[in-house]
Amino acid sequence: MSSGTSGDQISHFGKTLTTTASLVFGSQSMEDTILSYSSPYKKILHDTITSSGGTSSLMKVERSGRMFTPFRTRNSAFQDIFHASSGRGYFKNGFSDTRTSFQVLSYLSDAMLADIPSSESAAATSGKLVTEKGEKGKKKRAETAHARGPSLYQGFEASLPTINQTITTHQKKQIMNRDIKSIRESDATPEDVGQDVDIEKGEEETTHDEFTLPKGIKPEHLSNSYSIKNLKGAVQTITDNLDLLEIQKNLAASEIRELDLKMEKLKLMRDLVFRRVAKIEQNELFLEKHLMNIRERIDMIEEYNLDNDTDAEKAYEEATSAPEDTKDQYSELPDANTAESGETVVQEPQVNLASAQKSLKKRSKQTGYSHKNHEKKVQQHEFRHLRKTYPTLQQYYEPGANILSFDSAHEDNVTCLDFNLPFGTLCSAGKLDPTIKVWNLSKNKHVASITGHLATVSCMQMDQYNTLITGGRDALLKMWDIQKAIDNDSIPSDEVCIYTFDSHIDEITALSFEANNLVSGSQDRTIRQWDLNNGKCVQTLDINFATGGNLSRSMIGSGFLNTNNDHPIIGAIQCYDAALATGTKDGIVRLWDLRSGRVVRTLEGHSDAVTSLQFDSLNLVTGSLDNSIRIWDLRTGTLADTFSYEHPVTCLQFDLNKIVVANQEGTVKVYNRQEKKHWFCGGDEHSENAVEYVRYKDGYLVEGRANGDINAWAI
Amino acid sequence: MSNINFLPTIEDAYGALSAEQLDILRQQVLSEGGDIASIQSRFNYAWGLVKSHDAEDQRLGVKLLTDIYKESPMRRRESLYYLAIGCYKLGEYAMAKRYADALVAHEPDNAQARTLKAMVEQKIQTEGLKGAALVGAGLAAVAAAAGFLLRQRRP
Repeated sequence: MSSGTSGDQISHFGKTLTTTASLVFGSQSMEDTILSYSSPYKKILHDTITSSGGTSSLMKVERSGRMFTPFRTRNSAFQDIFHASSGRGYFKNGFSDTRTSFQVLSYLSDAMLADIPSSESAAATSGKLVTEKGEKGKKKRAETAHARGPSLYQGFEASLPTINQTITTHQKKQIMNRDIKSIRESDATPEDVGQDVDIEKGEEETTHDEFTLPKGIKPEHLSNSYSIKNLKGAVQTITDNLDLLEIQKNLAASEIRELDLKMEKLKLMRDLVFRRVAKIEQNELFLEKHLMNIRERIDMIEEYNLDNDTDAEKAYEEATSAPEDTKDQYSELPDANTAESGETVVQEPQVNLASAQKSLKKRSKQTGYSHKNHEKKVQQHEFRHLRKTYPTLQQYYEPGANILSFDSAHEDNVTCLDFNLPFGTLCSAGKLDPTIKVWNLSKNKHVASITGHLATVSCMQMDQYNTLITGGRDALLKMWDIQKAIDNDSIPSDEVCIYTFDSHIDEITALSFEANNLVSGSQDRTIRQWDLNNGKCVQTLDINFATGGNLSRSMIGSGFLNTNNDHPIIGAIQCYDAALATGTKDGIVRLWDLRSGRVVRTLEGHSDAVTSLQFDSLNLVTGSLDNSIRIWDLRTGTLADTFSYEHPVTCLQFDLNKIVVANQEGTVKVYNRQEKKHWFCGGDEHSENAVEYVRYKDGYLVEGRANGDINAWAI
Repeated sequence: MSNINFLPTIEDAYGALSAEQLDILRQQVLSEGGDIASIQSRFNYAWGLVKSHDAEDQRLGVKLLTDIYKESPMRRRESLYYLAIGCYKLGEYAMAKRYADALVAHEPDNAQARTLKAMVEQKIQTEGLKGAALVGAGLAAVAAAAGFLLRQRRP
């Protein structure tokens, strides 16, 4: 009795100790798993590979002949429980004897003891335990064991024979294999990690290449034997072996269930962290925007020598402009997600900035276009020195995952769209509606509509700083400052428009701008190059190729209100510095030198009109109505690759990793350039609702469809 | 299934494995990444340790079993049983009793669990008797000595 009570006292004492200990260790291990889940395995991998100076542990084992102890005496820290070769090292510490520290470390709290799941499967187990003991016979046992895997102990016993075999037979070889395996396995994903039995089996298969009968039984003996006793013995042995195998099989199965559970858990954890990244990123964008505004303000002050330390003026401005501006600013704060503290901090500058912007606007209105452009240039100059954080969230989506959708963004099909950076701003235009719609991709909502074009907007491009240039059927090119529209929804559209380029005499079908260069291609069979600094047309390039009878038809057919879908003469255009590439209706891709205004190279191969193209420093990729895309090597001017689809290609875009193609089907076709694999993304293959237009940046894909839907995908 | 019981008896906890066997089990756990190794591999190693003659190894084994208990709710009933046996073998009867009690509380119909509990209680009782006997013997000795002294002093 006395020892019983003393035992209770010990356990009570242990309890208090453990609660503190488990707090310390528990929280630490939790941090570990969350912050660097792979760290224990990394350590082991590291140990395995670099076991003391260059020579791999494999080599060392072989040379020194110490088979089983490559890890021994490595680490005796608490966390490395499996490195401690015996209990002595593990429980040893300076404060108490091993028994006490054992009791503390392996203490289970009452709550934990009580927390045993009582699900159906657990009930089955309890029932099974009874039957096991109750000697209900083999059949029943096998059944119940089937119901829910064998016990751990059975697994242990089942794996013993293979272990013994490992030791007795080809000892050295097995160990070597094992070590190789251990390196390979810790390198692999957790799902690949099998268990002891599986590995042994796998090795057996590879070494013997066939299954063998249990020891002492030979096929020829069996077929020649007439002794019932011997045969019965063999039957018994083989049955036993079968049972063993059955257990091993069940073990592996339960292993899989276990891994599934683990994966589920990891997935949950991933979701949590993912949301955290999203939140942080929104906060980042929010702060960055204000940083930008402050810089703009500083710039403005410097430019006009308004540096004034007395607060009188500031206070005045504040008083005049505070009410409405603060309201505006708040209305577009990135919802409640952003840090509360951040809000109060930025509030003060916000007011000033808003007024600064206002004064900027006023001034620029007075000084006219050239000044506005100057302002923009300054702004751009400023941006180059700006620390820019790039959104990375889309990387953590599963490939092919739908990030967001705007259903029926437009009433008719989407003619073109563009976005700047992932989770940034998206602009889109529909066929029957000359307005441009602006969307916020991180908040997943419509922010503004811009009117100004007189007919369908047929092409657009947007840059990082929310500058948008559009070209439409009304033969006009317009340059917009989308930021103004975002900041203030009610602002008249003509204030958002920075400049209108009006020289073309027919529909604009393609445009491209880069730095201060804008090029536009039109149905009037010209390409114009514009200087974005002063809005002047720098040069006009004539496209002169024979299109036969098509010419007159297209001239007549493309009136302002005409909505027929004649394929444009200049289907695609892109400029970079002095280089210009055009894809035209005759299926020929021309490379121009803008300095001389001449074609320097023609790439022939497409058998129908080129509808889209893009180039980088290495490749030019073109898509055509002949159902194919062609990848050209720009250095040699030859065809590098070509892919055919089932329908005409209307739009494509690529980067180093992927080529995305819209070809009037229900899905976006994606070609993975690294893995050389084709797949498709989004929606139903045979959907009526074809993808009309696609834009792709940094793994973030936005597509517009024939019924006006816009979807964003991670690829 | 044929030759292997669903759960081990107390005797199964004896009969140590060879050093090679134990080390293979350990290597298996290590190769699967230590803490993130599969439950079965870790149990194999832990049980191998419990079977060992060395009390320190047994302790490590029990500690590993505790970890398994913490980590895998579905295996908790089973683990309780192993834990009880491990502690029993170690001579930690108070701990063994806790586990056995918890096990019986969750599975009142389990004959094996009840046997185990009875065994643990019996052990505690005998230990207690032994302790009491020792104390009693001590007291008797003291009394005898005192009596002897007193008797010597009196005359």
